[in-house]
Amino acid sequence: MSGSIFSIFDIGARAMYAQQTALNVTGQNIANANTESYVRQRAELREAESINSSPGQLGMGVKVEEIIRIKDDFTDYQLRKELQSMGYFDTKSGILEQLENVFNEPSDNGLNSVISEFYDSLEDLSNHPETYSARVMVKEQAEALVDVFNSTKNSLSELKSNINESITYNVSEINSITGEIAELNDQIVRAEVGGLQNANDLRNQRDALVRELSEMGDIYVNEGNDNLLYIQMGDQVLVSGVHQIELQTTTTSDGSVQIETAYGETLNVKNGSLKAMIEMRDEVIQKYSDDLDTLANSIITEFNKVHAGGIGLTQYQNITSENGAQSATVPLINAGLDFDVTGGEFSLSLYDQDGNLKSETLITVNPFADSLNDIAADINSISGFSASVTADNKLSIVTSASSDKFSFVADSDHSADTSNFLMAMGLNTFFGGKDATSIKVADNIVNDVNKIATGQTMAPGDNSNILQLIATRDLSETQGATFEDYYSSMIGNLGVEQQVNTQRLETQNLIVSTLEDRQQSESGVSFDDEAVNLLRYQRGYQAASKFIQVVDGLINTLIQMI
Amino acid sequence: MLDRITNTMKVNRTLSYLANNMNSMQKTQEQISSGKMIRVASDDPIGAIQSMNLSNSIKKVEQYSKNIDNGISFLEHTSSVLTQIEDVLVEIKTIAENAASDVTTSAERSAFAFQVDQMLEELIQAANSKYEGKFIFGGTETLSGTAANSAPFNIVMSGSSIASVIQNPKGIDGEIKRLVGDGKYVTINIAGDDVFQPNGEGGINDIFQTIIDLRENLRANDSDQIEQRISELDEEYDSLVGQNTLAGSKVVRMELISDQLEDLKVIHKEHLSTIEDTDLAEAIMRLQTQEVTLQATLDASSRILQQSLLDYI
Repeated sequence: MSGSIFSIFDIGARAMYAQQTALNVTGQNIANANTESYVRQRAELREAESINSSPGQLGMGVKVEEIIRIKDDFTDYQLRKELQSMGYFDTKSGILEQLENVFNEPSDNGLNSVISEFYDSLEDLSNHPETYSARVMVKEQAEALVDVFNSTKNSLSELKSNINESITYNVSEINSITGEIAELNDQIVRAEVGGLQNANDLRNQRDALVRELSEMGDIYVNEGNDNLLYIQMGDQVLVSGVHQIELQTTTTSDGSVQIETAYGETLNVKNGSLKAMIEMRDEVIQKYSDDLDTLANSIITEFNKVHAGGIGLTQYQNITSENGAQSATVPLINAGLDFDVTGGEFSLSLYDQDGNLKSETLITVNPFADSLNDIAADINSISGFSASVTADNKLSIVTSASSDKFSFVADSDHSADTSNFLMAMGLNTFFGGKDATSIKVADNIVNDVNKIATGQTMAPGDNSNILQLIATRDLSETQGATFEDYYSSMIGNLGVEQQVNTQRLETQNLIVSTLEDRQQSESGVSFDDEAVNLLRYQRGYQAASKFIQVVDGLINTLIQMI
Repeated sequence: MLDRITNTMKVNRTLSYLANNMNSMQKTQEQISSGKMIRVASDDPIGAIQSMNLSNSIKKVEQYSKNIDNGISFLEHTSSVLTQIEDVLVEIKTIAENAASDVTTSAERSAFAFQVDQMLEELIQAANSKYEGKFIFGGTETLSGTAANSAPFNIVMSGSSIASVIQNPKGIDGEIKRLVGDGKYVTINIAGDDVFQPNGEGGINDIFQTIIDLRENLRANDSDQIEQRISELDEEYDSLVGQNTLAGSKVVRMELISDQLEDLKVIHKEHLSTIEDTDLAEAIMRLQTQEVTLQATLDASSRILQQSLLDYI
């Protein structure tokens, strides 16, 4: 016995309802064609459960089983992975670009030019050692060199502190994202309870947040059977179901921001923009900063060594050393000087006001036995000299007669200091300081440019020492390179680093955009598709209506018979 | 191969193609308008290093040329003073030759003695002459200090006439060098004692002593000794010419180095230019190609984006 004629009506009604729902979904797709992170949906039409009858089961028409999102989970997974690397290269590229701008090479006002101009001014002085203006030029060019060192170092520190701020900002961003994901987890579970509903829009929102998170760090995403998303960064769980675990930041004593888990352990980020920031701050910028210090230290060392063995146009009536020891009573080797003192000797030559030699004394330095006090006592015992150690452990030497002058060079054979004591203490040196931050033109030079040690004798036209100072330019003492070669290879390294990074970023962008295309191809809305669907469901709806019309005719016929 | 091309994909791709085209055009524009291929080291790391090294080399060479010019003018001045001294010596010799003649009377000889005395003063003045405020023949003692006898050559008077000429006790033999190349130096001064008193004050070939002696011989009317002085003057004149030739040869050597440096500078500059300067013709051609590509992309995009089934249903 077949079903009643009225039950055939129901098939038509269900069919119309199903086509209508499908049209609704098509409308939703078209409406959201340009919505970011929207995933196209489809109404899944199924045969309705049939009923048993004679001669066999009778179909009951169609029903909409569920509305699903059309997407490929594996593409999502791959995209999340690749976005991590993209975030890493992208952030690194931005910071490297800033680093290149800090060094500003090749240009006419970077360190390279300033070094070159400084040496040019020295050569001018070698042509005119007697001339005051040539000396002032050397001082000015040295100040410019020092300024570039100081400001470059300063910019590097600023770059680091900017990165620290970014890390703090990113961590708070991560916390806000994971908070939202935990909240969405909760909403999705509530919406999908009983398994009848798909919370498609909430899931879209959640996917967009996960995607955002992927660019920041190495995250691991796992959707449990309970429809909850579990998210981990490194070893740290950030979202566990409806619970969020916040990351913390702490600032270390040197001002660098560290990321910590809720339990106070340092979080080791292995990818994404956070890794790039930490790596750039702790390794790359640090390396260039150290290299700059090495260069400054090398210039100070080589230049001062030669300068300490020379004589200026005017000699010293009194001098206080540029550097101080940490202790004046322990042997010099342990006195905490920035430069090493070796066993050797230096001379003190005393002259009257007309430049006639009064005495020449050799002071022997044994760094393992002599303390700064011992050396001061040695000098003090020379007739015509008085030497003392100041409160900040600097050595102060003054001639007893105010008309007497002295130099640190032996008048007889022009021999210079062999102990490095003068250079280490900063006596008759050109530069002060020890690295790119502390480098400066020595006070003695700033106060009196005639103290620039041009000669090795008292003769005003003697330019032998300045020629030796110029020769420091060709010394390969900075890790086996000259100052200029060392610096240009630094810049070359930086350029290569950025170039390689740019290439890798381009490759990574290509990978990501391929995956995004694949994702779009699967999940994006195509107007052509939807146009076809529109027609399809319209026709379906029309046919179902026609069907009802026919059934209605049948019933009408039946009624007429009565 | 992708199954479906969606609307968003078409839009995104169009945008990314356009962005790529615009990026390369912007790069080309930057290269054309700045005239430089390398703005930051990563544009061409090797080129950047070379460019830094080359610009320093060029500056170095320019500075060496400056050092050489300075050295040459010092030497040329030295040479002109030496020529002037040669002339004085020739004059003195002429006087001595006239005085040596048997017909010259003692009155004439004392008049000659007066003339010689004048010339001695001229000679000392020349020996202490300065260039740019610095003694030429003072070695490294280029300035007169507060000490006694701090000029290169100092007069010791006996009564109203010059008894002897003594050197600056601090020495006048210091060498002054100019840096003319990497580690290459040229001594630019002629030591004063080599010219005037090669064997010390009052020694053999001490020009001043010879002239003082000549003056005394003239006053004493001693013609034999005058002959002796003439032969001494001949020797001294020869050695003076030798020193002048030395100065001249140094000028020639430095001019030669200067020419080489000039060549080097041109080579460096050309090299630098090939590394960092934009080849304008090439860049403009490239810009045009990029323009055509951009135009084509825009054209293709506008056609593809317009196509939709919606227009037909």
